[in-house]
Amino acid sequence: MLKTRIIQNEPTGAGRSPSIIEVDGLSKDYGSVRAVDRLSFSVSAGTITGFLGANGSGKTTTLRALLGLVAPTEGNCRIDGRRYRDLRRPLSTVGSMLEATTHPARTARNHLAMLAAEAGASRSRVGSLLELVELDAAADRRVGGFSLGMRQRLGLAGALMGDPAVLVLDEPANGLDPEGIRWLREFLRGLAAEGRTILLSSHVLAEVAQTVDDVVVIKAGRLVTQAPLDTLLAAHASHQVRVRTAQPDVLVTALAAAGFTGIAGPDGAVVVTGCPPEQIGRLALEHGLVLSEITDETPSLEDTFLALTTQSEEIR
Amino acid sequence: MITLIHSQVLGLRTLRSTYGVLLGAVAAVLVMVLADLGTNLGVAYVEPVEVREPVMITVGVIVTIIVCLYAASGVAGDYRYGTITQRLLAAPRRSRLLMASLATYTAFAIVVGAAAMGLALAIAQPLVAAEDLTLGLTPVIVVSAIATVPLFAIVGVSIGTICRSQAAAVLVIVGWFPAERLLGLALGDWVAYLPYGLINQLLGLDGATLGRGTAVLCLSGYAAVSALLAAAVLARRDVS
Ligand SMILES: Nc1ncnc2c1ncn2[C@@H]1O[C@H](COP(=O)(O)OP(=O)(O)O)[C@@H](O)[C@H]1O
Ligand SMILES: [Mg+2]
Repeated sequence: MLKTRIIQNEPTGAGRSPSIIEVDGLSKDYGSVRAVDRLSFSVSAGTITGFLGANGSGKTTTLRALLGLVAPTEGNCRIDGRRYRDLRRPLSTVGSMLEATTHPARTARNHLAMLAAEAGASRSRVGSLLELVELDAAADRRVGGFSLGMRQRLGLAGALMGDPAVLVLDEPANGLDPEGIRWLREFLRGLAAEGRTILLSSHVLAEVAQTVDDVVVIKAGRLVTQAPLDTLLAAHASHQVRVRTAQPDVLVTALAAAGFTGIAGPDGAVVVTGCPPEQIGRLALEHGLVLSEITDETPSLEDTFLALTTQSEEIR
Repeated sequence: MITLIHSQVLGLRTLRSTYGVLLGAVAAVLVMVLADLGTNLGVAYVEPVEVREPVMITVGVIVTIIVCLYAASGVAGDYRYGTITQRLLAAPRRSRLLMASLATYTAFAIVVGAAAMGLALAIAQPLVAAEDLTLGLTPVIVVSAIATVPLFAIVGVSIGTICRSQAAAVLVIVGWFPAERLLGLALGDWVAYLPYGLINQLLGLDGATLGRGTAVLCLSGYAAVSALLAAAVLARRDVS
């Protein structure tokens, strides 16, 4: 297993660490519904990659195809250079967490004991994983009575049973409260620090924004973008400030002289893009302008995400 | 393979319904054998083939169907609860998963069948001896009754795999009884070659026309065909 976290400096090119998960031209049709459409992306070793898209955009289908549960209509998926079904010890290579895979009448401990048998792990690993995900107190209760958060943590414990270097998690933050999301973030960060590669899906960017290094965004089964999160945010979240003054024309001219664009609207407000609010204030002061309003309208993370996942096809 | 079977055995051991089936089998044996022999022994049942009939039917029909239903709903339950996903993640070569299920339920069926037979004989033997009658048992007779249970466990696993729904699987297994009766009207004597008809032949019940060898061969054929069909269906299935 990888024990060192690979540091990435360059978003693309020669310095990038080798990709450990590759989805290549994947399409999946369910009858007349095209759930995934010629999707290609890759996940670099040692990174946490967020797989993002609105509900129904094809995330689960893609992850299930990656794990050999769903047969691709076209294309293929590889983990460590092999198809999942060709992995010699699958549970020790890839740990996965998909929705609802536990029998409600079984206790958490017995559920993990079955996984331990399948993964060839020792019985003692069950106890230590229960501790790791903080379920030891509930270990002998039936899973049917668990809260969503407890189930997610049990799922994580199951994914880790074979001590895999790669984790594939479908909506691990789904249904968690803010405290649960924080717990998950720190947990996943800890796993990544051990050198593991994590691919996790979400339909809410904010849930995972502080967790992931890279993002793969899909919409209607197609790739919208794959990029480091920072790059994505920088590209889509330039400053946008609304300013109100008695002399909008003077402000627009002053902004233009300083290299920024301000557009005066019919209501007298000026919308400035690409210029931080404090610099607008300084310009106004230099030109003796009185500002009656200055509002930062820079799009939030979620706005950016919504813009990406609901944009029309032209981005491709 | 061993790890897969181990996991399946653990899975059976950690569900209460497994013990429910065992209890059900015990209850069936007690009620059937005691009630039937108690009223009919020495009256309607005199010949060995009559005297042992309650024992043979209890193990070869009642316990067989209980285990068959249990195997089918256990396997189909994996789809109901989504646990099939976990099983396939551990065994992405799906035929291996099916073989593990078959091995597990076959072993379970042999244990339950043998235990039911042991219990039935323990109850029947003293009653029969007290009436100065005999069960007329030979090892072949005993083994064929026990063998019916695993043969139908294989059919149950296959039906559960193919149907994916517990209700549908139960409907097929139970509904096959009247269906076979209806088919019997059209098929005449050939009905002896249908799955449930073959049980009568294998158990050597009154009116059996085929030899035990033929019956066991035909039933094994049904079991093998159903398992191959299940393997083919499972190999193509999207688990989503
Ligand atoms: N088994 C299935 N049969 C038919 N359609 C399906 C099936 N699974 C998913 N779909 C469809 O495929 C699309 C993608 O679904 P999914 O992969 O679950 O998306 P996500 O996980 O992003 O919410 C949806 O339109 C969904 O209705
Ligand atoms: Mg999904």
